[in-house]
Amino acid sequence: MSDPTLVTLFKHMSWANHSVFTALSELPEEALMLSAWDPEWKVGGIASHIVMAQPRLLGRLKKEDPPADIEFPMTSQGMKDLAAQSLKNDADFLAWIDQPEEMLTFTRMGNTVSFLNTTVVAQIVHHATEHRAQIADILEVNKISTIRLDSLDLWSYERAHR
Amino acid sequence: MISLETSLKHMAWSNQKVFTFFSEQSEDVFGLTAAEGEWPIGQILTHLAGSGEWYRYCLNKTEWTDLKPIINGSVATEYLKIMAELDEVLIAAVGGPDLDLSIEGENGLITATTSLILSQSVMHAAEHKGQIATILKQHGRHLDLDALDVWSFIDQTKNK
Repeated sequence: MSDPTLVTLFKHMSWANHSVFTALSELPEEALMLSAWDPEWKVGGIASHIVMAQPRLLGRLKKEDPPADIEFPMTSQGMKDLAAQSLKNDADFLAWIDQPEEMLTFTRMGNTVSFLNTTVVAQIVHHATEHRAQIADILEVNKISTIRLDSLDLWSYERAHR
Repeated sequence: MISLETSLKHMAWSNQKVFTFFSEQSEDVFGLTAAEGEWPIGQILTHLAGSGEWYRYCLNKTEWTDLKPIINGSVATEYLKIMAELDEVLIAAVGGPDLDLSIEGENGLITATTSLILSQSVMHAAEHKGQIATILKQHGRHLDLDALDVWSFIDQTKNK
């Protein structure tokens, strides 16, 4: 049986990611091109980055080579597709977190490295959380308050799923 | 079994790194904001500790305190010990039963499970650290989030 806290954390991540991507799909497409400090690091690009990292991390858990990256266009439809893909990836994650702790060896940034599967699992959640905050802040800087992080917390998640 | 222990230990390590970073920053940094009317960095840092006190209260009923606002590096330094103690409470709760908690909050009785509190603590801290790094970037300063990720945590602590 999976650790209940870990399951809560993953289900929350899935819900929060999906909520953010859905909110992005409902914004004017210009908003997806906004950035704060790095013109190359745009809202839509960060959202894609969250989802493109998921199969890579999942591949490490499954001891499989990562699939080729799928680029999502920075359009409303692109964000909808991203939301759908993210849900699929999250369902896959949930099926893979009920594992004994194990050392994995894989390629990361061109180097062969070894990390416990617990580390990969922790990084999956951490990575998405950090980047959701980045997206919310970049929108806020550009005077778009669509994504309120307080309404994406664990309390809100539980209330939404009672 | 894979559990939340790594996430909580990573959070505690990362909190220490972030507060150490701010202990070395000039006072003006603590007043930087993402946009007008949004919380300044110092308030977000104080909020991180305040949240830790709230989680502790939820888990073991220890009353929260009036925390000193973090307005400069010297105050940030004082929080290294506070954060370590608060994070230790969370780490100690992992692996225990997933209790149903009844919590007397400022707005009445609320219910939560231990798993909700622990999950929220991990998510909340990461979110605000991402926010802080973004605010710094906007103002031409840099907090390297890649050096605070879980890979870095394991790399730096695996031989200790």
